[in-house]
Amino acid sequence: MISASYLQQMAGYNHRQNQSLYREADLLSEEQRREDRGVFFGSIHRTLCHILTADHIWMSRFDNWDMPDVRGGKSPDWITGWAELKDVRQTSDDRLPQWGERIKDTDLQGDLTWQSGIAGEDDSAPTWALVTHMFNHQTHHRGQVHGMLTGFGMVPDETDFEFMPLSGT
Amino acid sequence: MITAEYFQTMARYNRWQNASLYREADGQSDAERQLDRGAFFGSIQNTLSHILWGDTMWMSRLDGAPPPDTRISEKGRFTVAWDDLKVMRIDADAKIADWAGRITDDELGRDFTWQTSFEKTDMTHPFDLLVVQLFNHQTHHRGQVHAMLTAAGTNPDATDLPFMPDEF
Repeated sequence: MISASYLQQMAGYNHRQNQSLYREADLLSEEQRREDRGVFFGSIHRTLCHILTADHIWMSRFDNWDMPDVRGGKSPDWITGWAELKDVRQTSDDRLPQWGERIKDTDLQGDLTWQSGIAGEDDSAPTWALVTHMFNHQTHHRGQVHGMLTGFGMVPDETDFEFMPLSGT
Repeated sequence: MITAEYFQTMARYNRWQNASLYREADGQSDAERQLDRGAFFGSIQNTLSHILWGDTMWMSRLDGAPPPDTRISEKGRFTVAWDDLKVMRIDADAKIADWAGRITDDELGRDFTWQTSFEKTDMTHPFDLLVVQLFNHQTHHRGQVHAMLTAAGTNPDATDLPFMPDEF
């Protein structure tokens, strides 16, 4: 189980990390952002788009956001323009903490039933575990983007929680 | 912030994901594992070494386990021999699982004071925030390893928490 304070911590971390990765990706050329670097979803653009699509799919279930019109394997291609991707990411990152402020610990208890875009049928799991998944999913794929950015010689910010000393753990 | 149930879930996820990544990395040559692919710690092997260093450091602080030994003392910039790394990872995962079985909600709710490695400064934070940092740190760097493994042509398992198999 997690409490609302976990959401607030992770929503803030999500915002800071996205600012760092989008700032560095913005300095690359369009070709570099779209280059297939061999990660699961290929490029920086498609991986960032997959994270955004998945966030919106989960937030449509948690907080009644609009469900994206793409699911499953189409998730990396929901938004193909870089400027629009940046805009939607920024709007989403402004909304996430508002949800974190509103939510109550009791909202996180109990099960959530959803129609899985991957499995194609209804699935059910504890709400807290799915919220944990959404944030863990972000970190996993941002790790891939981070690896591609440093591969291009870019310098994203520290990825530890902000209280950590800069020398690492 | 979190309860023991979160800890137990993430300990299982840690074991599942490490089993997947180490299995795929094990099928590669030493040269492939040590190839600098431009990640923050360069190679698959160095990034896996760094994750183990972080886990061992935090377990020594939070659960009284021995601190990292010299083989992993340089935060992944030092290449641990692959056969040693595999054994050390399995051992660490067993310790994390054991810790997950003992941890209580009360312990997670306390403040914890620790000393930084370099400046030797005392820091105090909620115990559970440090636990979340430990698991988030793993996932971040495993994401980099996953990227390097798929670039090397391998097929790690799914990474989504809801798809975690029951055997983990």
